[in-house]
Amino acid sequence: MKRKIPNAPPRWADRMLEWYCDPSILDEVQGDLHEAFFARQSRIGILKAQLLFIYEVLFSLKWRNRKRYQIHSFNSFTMWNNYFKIALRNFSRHKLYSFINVFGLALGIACVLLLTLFVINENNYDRFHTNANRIFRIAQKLKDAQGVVIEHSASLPWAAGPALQTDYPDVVNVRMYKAWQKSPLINYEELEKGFYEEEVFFVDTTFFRIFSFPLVKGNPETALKNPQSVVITESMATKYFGDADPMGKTLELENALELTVTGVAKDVPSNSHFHFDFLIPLLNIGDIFQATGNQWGWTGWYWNPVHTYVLLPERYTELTFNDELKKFVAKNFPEGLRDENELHTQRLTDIHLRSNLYQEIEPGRSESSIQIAISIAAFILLIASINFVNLTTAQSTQRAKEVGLRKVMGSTRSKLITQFFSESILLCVLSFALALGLMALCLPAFEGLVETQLNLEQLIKPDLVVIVLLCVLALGVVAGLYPAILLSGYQPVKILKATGTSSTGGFAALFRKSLVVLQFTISVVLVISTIIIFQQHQFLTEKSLGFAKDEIVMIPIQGTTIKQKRTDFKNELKKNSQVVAACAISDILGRDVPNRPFGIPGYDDRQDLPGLFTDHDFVQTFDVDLIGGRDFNEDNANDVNTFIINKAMLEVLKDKQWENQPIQWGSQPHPIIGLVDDFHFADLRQTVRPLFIGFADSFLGYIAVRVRPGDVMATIRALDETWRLFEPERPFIPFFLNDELNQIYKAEKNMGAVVSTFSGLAIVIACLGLFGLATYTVNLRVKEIGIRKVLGAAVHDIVGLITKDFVVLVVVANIIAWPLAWYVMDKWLGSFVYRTEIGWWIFALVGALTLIAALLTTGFQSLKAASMNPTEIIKEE
Amino acid sequence: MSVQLGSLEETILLLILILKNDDAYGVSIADAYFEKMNKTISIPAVHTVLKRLEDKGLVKSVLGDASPVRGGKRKRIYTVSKLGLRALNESKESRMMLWNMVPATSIVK
Repeated sequence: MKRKIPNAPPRWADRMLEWYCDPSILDEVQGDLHEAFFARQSRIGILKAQLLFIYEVLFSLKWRNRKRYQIHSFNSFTMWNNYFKIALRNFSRHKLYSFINVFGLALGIACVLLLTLFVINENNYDRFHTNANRIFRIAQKLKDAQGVVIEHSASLPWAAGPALQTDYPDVVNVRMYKAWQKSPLINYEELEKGFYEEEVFFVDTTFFRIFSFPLVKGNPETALKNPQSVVITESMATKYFGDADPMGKTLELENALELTVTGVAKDVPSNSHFHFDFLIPLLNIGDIFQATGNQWGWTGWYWNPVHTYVLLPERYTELTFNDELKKFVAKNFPEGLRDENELHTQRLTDIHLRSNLYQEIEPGRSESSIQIAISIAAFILLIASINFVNLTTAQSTQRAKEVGLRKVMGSTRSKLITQFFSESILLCVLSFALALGLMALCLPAFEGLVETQLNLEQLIKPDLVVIVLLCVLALGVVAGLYPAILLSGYQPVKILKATGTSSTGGFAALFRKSLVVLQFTISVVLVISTIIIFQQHQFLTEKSLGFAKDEIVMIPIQGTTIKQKRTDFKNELKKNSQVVAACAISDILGRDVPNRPFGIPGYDDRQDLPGLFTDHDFVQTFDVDLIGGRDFNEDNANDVNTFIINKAMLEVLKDKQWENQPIQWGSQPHPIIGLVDDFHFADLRQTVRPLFIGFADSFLGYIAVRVRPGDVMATIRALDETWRLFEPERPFIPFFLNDELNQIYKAEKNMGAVVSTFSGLAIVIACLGLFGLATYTVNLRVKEIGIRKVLGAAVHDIVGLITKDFVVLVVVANIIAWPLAWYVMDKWLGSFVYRTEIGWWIFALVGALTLIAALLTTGFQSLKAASMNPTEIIKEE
Repeated sequence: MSVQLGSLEETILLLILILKNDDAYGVSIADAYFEKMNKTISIPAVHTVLKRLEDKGLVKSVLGDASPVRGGKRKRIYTVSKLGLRALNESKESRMMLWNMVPATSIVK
């Protein structure tokens, strides 16, 4: 069917014109267009004329033709004034509500801001370098013959850096070598100050061309040019030189290498993935090795302790440079290593959160902790917003009369919605201001909790400020949405005629109740998780490791003469009656033991297995369980070339025969003389692996001394005196093995502390909301309570009546939360090899706790109502 | 002082003068433009130029009659102001002066 084209310009275009154009010019524009349309219609046909009309309408929608709105300033301003006044009156009439509303929300926002700051800080690691997005670290994958990655290391062999320099002269690279397994001694002779320093880095002279660490004194171009120079941080300058100018002063490294201070750097910001205190040029590797007691002294392609970074020029992308690295390996790595090695780049900015390789300089943080922080922040904000919504809807009944009257006086629904929105936005803005104060107040405590320094300036960025403000506005709108729509929908006649109770029953009440259940479900899950995280941490720190760790004092001996005279030293120690036994040892037992190649009878190749080195009395000192054979014995001169194994090693040995089996170590076969029960020589995230315990003179890094419990401090003073007999030049810095091992589970402890703090806050906020709701209910039923009392109800009847409703909600929340919490925590515990049991008592305890909290918060209000004099309440009306 | 006249502005000013006996308004100016210049121009373009001329004080306008063909809308009728006439004259004279200076030989007919 052919539609008849109407003999007129398209209506919609016409309407658009009318909608857009200011009335003062509409006559001229619209009139001219119409006239032209009719004139053209006869000339070129209706369709063309219509198209032309639309075209001309579109071109008439010019900025200068736009409709100028007349602002009805007088009336509108008065109404806003009125809304504001009513809002303030409402706040002051219901001080408690308003306080709970504002404070609860403020607490929530403050938590979210703090956690946001934390997340931003974690994501901003290493971004302060000018070329951050062009700096890459090169990592090394070492594979065995089957292609299985056996080592994925953050550091490269010594020779890689210089070879890169030769092959790719435009790629700036820097090597950083941190004294291996040892804290070198640094001395300032003049003031006789000496400390063992952890953060000593030996770096190539290109260091400052790649990294942008600002120097306070000295020139970054030349500071590292001279082999015997050192750049120190500001805090080190104060530590060694006080207020004196450090430039040109001489520090001594390990009493062997004199270094002139050529630069003072600002302290490394906390959001850097490494924190140097000393930078020493890597020009005289020989001297450095000698000074740091490194006996390997070898700079080839095998030993890989140097972290190597590159600054890529524009002509490479990350992808193309990785291709170059393949060629580089094939060209430079020696025969036999070529096929087993793979190099690849890591973005500098990814190292903190997304790299957890062997030989990281500092432990990073896992992305999961960031996700935990984000989800906790979201939960807390949700709980606080629910309070806000609940209290506002609950309160709404009391505003019903106001709404009715406003409608009668000519207010429209949209105006009422505006009013309630503006009220809730006002509350949000108030809360936000309060939250900023709370955040500033809690920042130091929070920094301690997450053990990072946070920089408030990171929050003050225009885009972020806009986002936060928009979020606050959105929160106001969302929180005000339900009350605004509910309240504005009231029929004035109904409200004004009857007592307005329409929102206490039915849907509104159900909505409110389910929100309360949601709040408590989240809180209960958080609290249960907290307890389980703590339990797991407790479990890990208290689990018997199979060796004595509590009374072990570790004395570092690397680079000292005690290493050679250790038998004398041990004999001297043993003269002290408080010393049970002592032995030298290569690694910190309980941390980890590195793999080393051992030749085992029945295997063709050497096997890479954990190898611990120690000397006489190892079994006695660590009190490990000797199942068969004997300890390394001083009386038996042959024991210096023997092994003890653990039970797990039996599985590796052919036929489980261990006694006197010759184990190839170095060029010599050494017999096995002892078998000990399994003990946790590595952390509890791993199962016990097979272990060789060898007797050796090299590798030894510590003397472990088992002391009798009691006055341990006095014993340590005695040890110090013995130390001074042997090493008067060096400070005596022992540590307790136990303390050192507890550091391993710091991540769990840290996470536990964060989660527990914030789940505590979640409960507090949820209870605040409950308290507000209880107050509201009591107010609503105050007459009923009065009449019940007159008719003979006892106080406890009335308290029960009021609290019952809330108790039911909390019970329901618990029932929902328990399986949820169990599921989540069971998954989390699944990542541990050794895990605590989730006891039913945790659920019972948390259930009881939340019930008590609910009873206390609601009971207080109902008790107050129940003890009122009924005549006071019902005398009116 | 002199007011800068764009080429289209000058043309439309002249068209308004030509239309002196009839009403000079959007549609009639656009029609005259088509007739005299043999080129089409859209109504909004005419409006834009007229507003610009009015802002410069070169034209004056009054609201005229409504008619059914205009959907009951009134016309806005434009007349050239004294300033407009002076600007046209100045423009013409400066052109003529330049024309007079052009050597006769270089004018290709």
